[in-house]
Amino acid sequence: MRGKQWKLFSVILVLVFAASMFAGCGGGDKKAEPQKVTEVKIAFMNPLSGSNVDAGQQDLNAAELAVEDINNAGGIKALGGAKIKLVVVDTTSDPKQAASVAERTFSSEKVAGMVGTGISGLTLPILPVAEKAKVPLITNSINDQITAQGYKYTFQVTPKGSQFGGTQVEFLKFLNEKFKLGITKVAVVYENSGYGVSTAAGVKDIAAKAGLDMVLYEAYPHGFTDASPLVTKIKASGAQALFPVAYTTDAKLIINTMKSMNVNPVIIGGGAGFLWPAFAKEMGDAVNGFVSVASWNWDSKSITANKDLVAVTERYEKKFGTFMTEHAGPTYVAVRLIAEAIEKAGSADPTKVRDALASFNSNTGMAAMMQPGTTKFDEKGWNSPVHPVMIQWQDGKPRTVFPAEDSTRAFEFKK
Amino acid sequence: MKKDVKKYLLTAVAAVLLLAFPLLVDNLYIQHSFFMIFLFATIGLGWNLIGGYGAQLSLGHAAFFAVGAYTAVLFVIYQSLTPLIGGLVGVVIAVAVAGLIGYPCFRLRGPYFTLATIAAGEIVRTLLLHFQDFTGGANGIPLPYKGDNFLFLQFSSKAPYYYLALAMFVVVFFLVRYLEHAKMGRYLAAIREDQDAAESLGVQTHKVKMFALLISAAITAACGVLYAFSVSFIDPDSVAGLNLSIEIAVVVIVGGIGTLWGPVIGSVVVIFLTEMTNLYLGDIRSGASLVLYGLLLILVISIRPQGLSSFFRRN
Repeated sequence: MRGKQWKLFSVILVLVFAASMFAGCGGGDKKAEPQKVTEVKIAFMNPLSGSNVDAGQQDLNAAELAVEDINNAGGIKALGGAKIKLVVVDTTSDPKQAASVAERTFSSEKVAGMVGTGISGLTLPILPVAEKAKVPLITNSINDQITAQGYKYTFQVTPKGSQFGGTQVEFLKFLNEKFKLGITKVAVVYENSGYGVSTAAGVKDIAAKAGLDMVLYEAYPHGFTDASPLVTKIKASGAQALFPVAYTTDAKLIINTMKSMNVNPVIIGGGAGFLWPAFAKEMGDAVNGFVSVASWNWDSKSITANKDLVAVTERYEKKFGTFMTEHAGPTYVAVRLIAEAIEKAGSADPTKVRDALASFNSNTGMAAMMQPGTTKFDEKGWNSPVHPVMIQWQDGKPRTVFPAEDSTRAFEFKK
Repeated sequence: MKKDVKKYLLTAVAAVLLLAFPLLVDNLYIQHSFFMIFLFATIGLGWNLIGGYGAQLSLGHAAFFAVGAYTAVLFVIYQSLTPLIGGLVGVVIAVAVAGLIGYPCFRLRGPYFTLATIAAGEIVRTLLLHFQDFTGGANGIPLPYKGDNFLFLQFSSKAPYYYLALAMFVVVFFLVRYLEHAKMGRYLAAIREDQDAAESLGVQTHKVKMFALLISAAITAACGVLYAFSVSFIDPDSVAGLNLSIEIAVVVIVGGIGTLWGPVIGSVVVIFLTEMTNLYLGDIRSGASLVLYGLLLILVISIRPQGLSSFFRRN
């Protein structure tokens, strides 16, 4: 019996100890807000560990640059030049942990808003937490479900996953018309993940509507080591165009296997792996000519037409050594939009910031950075004017080539 | 007599503290962390039945967790059925799945059994990915937000989840404590020590192990339901992944395998370590938090292979 008592007692002790430790590093910010605000905190949540760390790192670079730019320009003027401080939080790549981390951040830090995450599977568990904590968040992840839940504090600045297919199919039509390719048979191969499934599903629906013949619709596991069964299926299907949805290493594997098996359909990439600097590193000069859909690109017309925005992409490139990526651009915009909303609301109170975001509608300043140059949130919190673009790698960088209203370079046809 | 009084007093104090906890600590994060501690302690208690007392190491328990979570959530999505009923259906299905897994797998022993459970877990995950039109596939399913609604287990505060997890924990704790000393516990202990000897003494090992697995699966599935509604989002990787199966086993192994308090202590330590390493090292870019978490686990296991609860054992 004595042994049991001790056990019970020790567990209680450990629990109390744990509570005090949590409390020590958590709470304590309960004091009334001082009259003069000198610092406004914005939470940054993204995966800085685990399998999604590549994306999280690009997001972090962009967010830090945005904060630097805001503070160098005099901070939040409506609050007497208060400086922005980024509260950097690692969601890890585990959705369970993402929810827990969000809970911690919102209950221990007084933040005016939040940016992140860039990964749909990590964003979705954070949404209800932010809603309950009444903290507005701007995400750059693309899942359609993010703004379909009726959350009032959720804002999605990027195009939705289901739009990507539309842009890719439009682009294929454009190729067919311009180069008389006569492509009717298409294949989709996609990674079996949230991003893969939603992008691939978009292509499938729209291809059917456009009268294309979907001869293959095949998933593969992320990180697979042998693509030849997949490529054999592509070959057997007789597809003239291929829509691969893949991250960098898988994309490289598929492309190389296709080359060695002499399978040469027109490839129209589905984002991510086809866009990141790592793709250029892996492929070397062979990268030039590849095309892909992108939720954002650094040289779309709305950016190149505005020297302030060009300066942002140049600063990013100088500081981090690569062009501003699809992840980085919208994250930069997200931080700037929250700052602008604080400015407009004249307050760092998250509910007021939320209201300012909800009525946001601008085509100047940083809002012009998202294609087509206007940012405004609809009643569901989605940036409704936004649409994806097509890029082609030229001179070692992704360039916007489609649609015409956003393109800065002409598509170069190589066969 | 005096000892008994002391024991009841301590238990009463613990009960009052745990019940009053959300009133004393209004920090949502701490409430959430305690929710996770109770949740994992409960799953650990369930896992321990078969993995600890019966020494049949399972690395497929995420399958039951996922079946519970998905069934309840899909009922809400397609039928608007309250998870109070949908969850029960989930538990029943998980028990059926456990029967399907256990029947062939219990013919295997040791590492072969463990490998079979890994495969079973992966099958469930792959099925969830495959039937994407129904399950949402890799996209996962977010629960539609309905505001405060007890029937749909949605609350704007954390406290209700805390109490639900606490209640579940208490029920399962006393159930396991009872089973430990009941016939089944003795049978399992005999199987753990020497399965052949147990059989020669007339223990129907297959039946006993199956019974332990079914209870274990039911507990795990119930926890899956609660988890799904507290986080409002599930996807195959987070509820049916091998990672979760391992985490469940780690909780018990760290705390002390085959002991009543092991899963409880293990859950406190593991959740605490996860959160603390993330808090203090999370903004370091290289994922240092996970490295430290791993190192600490290695340390615990190498110093106390019997688990932390063995510090309190008096012999």
